[in-house]
Amino acid sequence: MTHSIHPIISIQGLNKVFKVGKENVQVLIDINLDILPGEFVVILGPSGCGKSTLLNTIIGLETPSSGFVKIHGHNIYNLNEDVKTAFRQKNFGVVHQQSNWIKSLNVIDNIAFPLNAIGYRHKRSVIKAKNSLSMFAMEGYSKHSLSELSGGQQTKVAVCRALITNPPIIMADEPTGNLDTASAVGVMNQFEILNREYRNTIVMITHNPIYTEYATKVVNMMDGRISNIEVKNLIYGLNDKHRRHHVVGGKAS
Amino acid sequence: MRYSYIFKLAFKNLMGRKLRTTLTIMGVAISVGFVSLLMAFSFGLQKAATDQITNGDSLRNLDITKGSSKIVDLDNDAIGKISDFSEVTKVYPQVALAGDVQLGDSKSDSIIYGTGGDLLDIIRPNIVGGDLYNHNAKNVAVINASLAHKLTSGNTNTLIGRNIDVRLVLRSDLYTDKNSKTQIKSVQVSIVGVTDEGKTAYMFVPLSTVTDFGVDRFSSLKVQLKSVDDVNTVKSQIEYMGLKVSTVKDTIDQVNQFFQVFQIILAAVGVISIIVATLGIFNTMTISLLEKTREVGLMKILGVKKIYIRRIFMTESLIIGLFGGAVGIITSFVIGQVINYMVYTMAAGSGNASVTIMYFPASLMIFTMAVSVLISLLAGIYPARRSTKISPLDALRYE
Repeated sequence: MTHSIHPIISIQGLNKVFKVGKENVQVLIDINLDILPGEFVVILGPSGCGKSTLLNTIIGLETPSSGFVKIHGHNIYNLNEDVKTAFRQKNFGVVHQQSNWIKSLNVIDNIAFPLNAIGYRHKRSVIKAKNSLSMFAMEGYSKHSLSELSGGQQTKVAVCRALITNPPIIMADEPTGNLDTASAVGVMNQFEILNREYRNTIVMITHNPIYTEYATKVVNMMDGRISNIEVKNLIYGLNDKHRRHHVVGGKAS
Repeated sequence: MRYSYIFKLAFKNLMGRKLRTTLTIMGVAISVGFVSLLMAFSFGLQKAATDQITNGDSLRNLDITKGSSKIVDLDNDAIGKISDFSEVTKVYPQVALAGDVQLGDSKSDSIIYGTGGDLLDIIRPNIVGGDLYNHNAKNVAVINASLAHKLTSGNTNTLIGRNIDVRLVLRSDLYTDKNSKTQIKSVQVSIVGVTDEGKTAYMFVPLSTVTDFGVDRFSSLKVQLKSVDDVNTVKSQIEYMGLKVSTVKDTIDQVNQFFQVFQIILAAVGVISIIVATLGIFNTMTISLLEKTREVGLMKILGVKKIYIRRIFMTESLIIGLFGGAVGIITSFVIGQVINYMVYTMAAGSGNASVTIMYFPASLMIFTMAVSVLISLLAGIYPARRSTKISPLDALRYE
């Protein structure tokens, strides 16, 4: 890459050590990675290779043992928890494999929750939430309880919730892990649209190589290290906002 | 996060566990209702006691006696000085002396109060036959039932209109003149009224009955003030003159003091039940916190600041307190009214005057409500603080 663009996420010399009993387990070893605005990064690796820890460290939930992560040039680990929370909320939309919900709230209120968290009027946040639910043609489920929804539907709702605050970066941890193929395609297509049309930076963790087809950059991880970084496609619209880009390869199916 | 949304969240959380919430609210309601009933009972007794002592107007009266003073006398001089106080409406002198009464063959010793008709209006003894005498009356008397029974074996009302011979023992100290001697004077008066008060024989005659014999020192003065608020000021001023002052307010204060102690004891009993209720809320909130570890972690990931998470928990606790308090107060009020009604019907059945035994002043309701809000906030502090310490990572760990 020869672009003079500043990375939106810059990881340098990152190590993460967990203490398990008396033993130290090094989960992340010397991670160096730059992610540019508009990239679709797939972090690929078998389970237990430290992918999820890397994601949690990037969004500031875990603190590095050494090295640092900068978002837009900001090192967030020295900030207090509330400032970190606000920073995370402003920059990241997060989708986890296992969806977590506020059980007393229905689908629409769960999607609207991040807006309520930053002080939106409930009426206004619900209108936005309904719009976002229409992205998956799921408007009919707004009053449902989350436990009434299938795994695929729950992931779609989780994506809606992650997008409701219009964050520039979407972090997805095995979003398709629990889904049937058709649902997985639906979610991946949505990510593609977000990346191509809305210029969201997407960082997706998976153990399934099939999703590398969506990526502009594939990061292979093994035993806590980055084994290699593979630049696949051009970042969409980087040189010409109006240039339609051809996706290399087919879609996951 | 807006207060309305925090309230909505807290309310939904509580509604998600209807049984537990209801039980906790009931615990608070029972405890608060119990305390409120106890206090209402105490207030009721206190009110009944003070209502008997006074009928409002007597609160602004002072009773003055010479006490042990050797310097000051209750003479026209003293009356003049006291009357000059701007707070004083009027000063009523009274003379008490010993004597005896004769009606035909019947004879009895009696205390004789030289009491003006206007003062008699203030004392207002309970009349069972005839009437009080008025300000200008002469040679009349209101006797009490005890004296009446000594004068007649029949109905005391037959005495009304009868003339009796009264002998007054006019002690030397009733005269300013130092050379005066104790003397006995006779006077004939007509009975105009009978009162049922007092155990020993006594009678009221107009003050002029004794002052006509030259009496110019009085046994006591009743001072009427313009307002109850002046009681303490005037009291200390008169005491400064060397006289002894007693007020109805003093008596009521003593009764109130007694009931204050009584109420504190009841409150102590109530505190125990309040503590139990507080532990109930605390328990519910702590369990709720444990259940919501993941949810709180998630809220943090979704951008909720610590202070709002704390507020959600405090609000849940507060809602329990508010509902518990309201239900407790309303229930205790209803029970109190039922008890009052039962006492009323029982009293009416046995021909006695009824009292409001359960009295709920607004201050009591406000106090108990405040207590329930307070304990709910108190019980919420610890779980709310704990909630802010939950790590967002807890939401991501698989169970």
